[in-house]
Amino acid sequence: MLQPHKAVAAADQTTNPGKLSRGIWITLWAVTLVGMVATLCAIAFWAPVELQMGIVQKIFYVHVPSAYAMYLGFFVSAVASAIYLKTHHPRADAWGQAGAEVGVLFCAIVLLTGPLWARKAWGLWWTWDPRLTTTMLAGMVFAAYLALRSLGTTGEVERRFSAGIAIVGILDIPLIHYSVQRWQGQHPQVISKGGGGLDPTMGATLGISMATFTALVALLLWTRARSLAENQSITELTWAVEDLEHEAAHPVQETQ
Amino acid sequence: MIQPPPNLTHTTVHRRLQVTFRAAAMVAGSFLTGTIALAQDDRATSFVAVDGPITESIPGGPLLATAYILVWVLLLGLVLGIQRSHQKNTEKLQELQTRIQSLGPTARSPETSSPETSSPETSSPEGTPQGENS
Repeated sequence: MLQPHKAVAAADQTTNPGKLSRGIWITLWAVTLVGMVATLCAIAFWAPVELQMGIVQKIFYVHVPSAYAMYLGFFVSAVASAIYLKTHHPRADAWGQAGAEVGVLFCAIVLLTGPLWARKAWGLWWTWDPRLTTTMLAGMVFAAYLALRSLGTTGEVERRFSAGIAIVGILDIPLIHYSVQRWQGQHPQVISKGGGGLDPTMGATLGISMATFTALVALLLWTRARSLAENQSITELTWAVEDLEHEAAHPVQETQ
Repeated sequence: MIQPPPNLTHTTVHRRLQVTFRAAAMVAGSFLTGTIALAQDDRATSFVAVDGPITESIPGGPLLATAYILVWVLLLGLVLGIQRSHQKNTEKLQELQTRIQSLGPTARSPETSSPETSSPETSSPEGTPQGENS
């Protein structure tokens, strides 16, 4: 059990971030907001319409950055999980869960925007292409992580097991990335190795979108990890307060 | 116990299984090779900007709009989820603050609490919450 005064101090520290932390958070929030507006304007008014696919190609500017954001989320989750298994620090566990949540969100975006593009480009919503299949697999692995964490009270066993799931799940990321090169498939290969490249304006729009999504992922990860860490501190504080209440209610038993 | 028919010996069963596996492997192999061959022809390798009026067979506008709406809805969902979690935490903290205040000065800090009230027997090594090591 945590000592009451330490639990109070820990909860106070977690729920009241320092000036520097708050300043970075506000800056990140402002950068993300400005980036979002700039990205949407660039996609709508600056990026040209693609010759073969038409306007639906503009899904590309959220689809690719979402896939990159998914990689970042899963990577953070796996690294934080490895740190948790080594150190058992609750903050590492909070970052692990935040990474999984953000990664699964962007995986869902990838898996939903991809078929909308495929309907126009390929004439079908879904095909068991290697990249599509491995992306879905990664999403399912990290969804299993989140399902485990949502099954009621999270103890040490659940935390360790979910950390293991995250580490296993990250092994799928190189498969997603290199599946297009290794196993062919139908997925376009435009910006990666062997691709034909992009129109310069399209490339610049994608660059703006990638930068915005990087800031967005950082903001979401930080905010969610902080919220989860707060939750952990409050749980510890609750236990400490319950212990104090028990002491206050049974003073005779303590002296005996 | 079910006995196999007299004409179905172990060698026959083994041979039939071998034939079945070979046939399945050939079908799977040819399917995979065909898929890869078709996929190689369909792969896009570059995006080129249109020059002139835009003509499309399947309207891409609704698909594009749906994609962007989905992105915003999902992002908003996560942000609202975080906000709800933060709100719950704030409520819990307020409740705990009330409970701590009702306990008196013992719960605040070692400096403000009397030495008699802080019992080392009831506290385990720091940072280990109750039930964590079970």
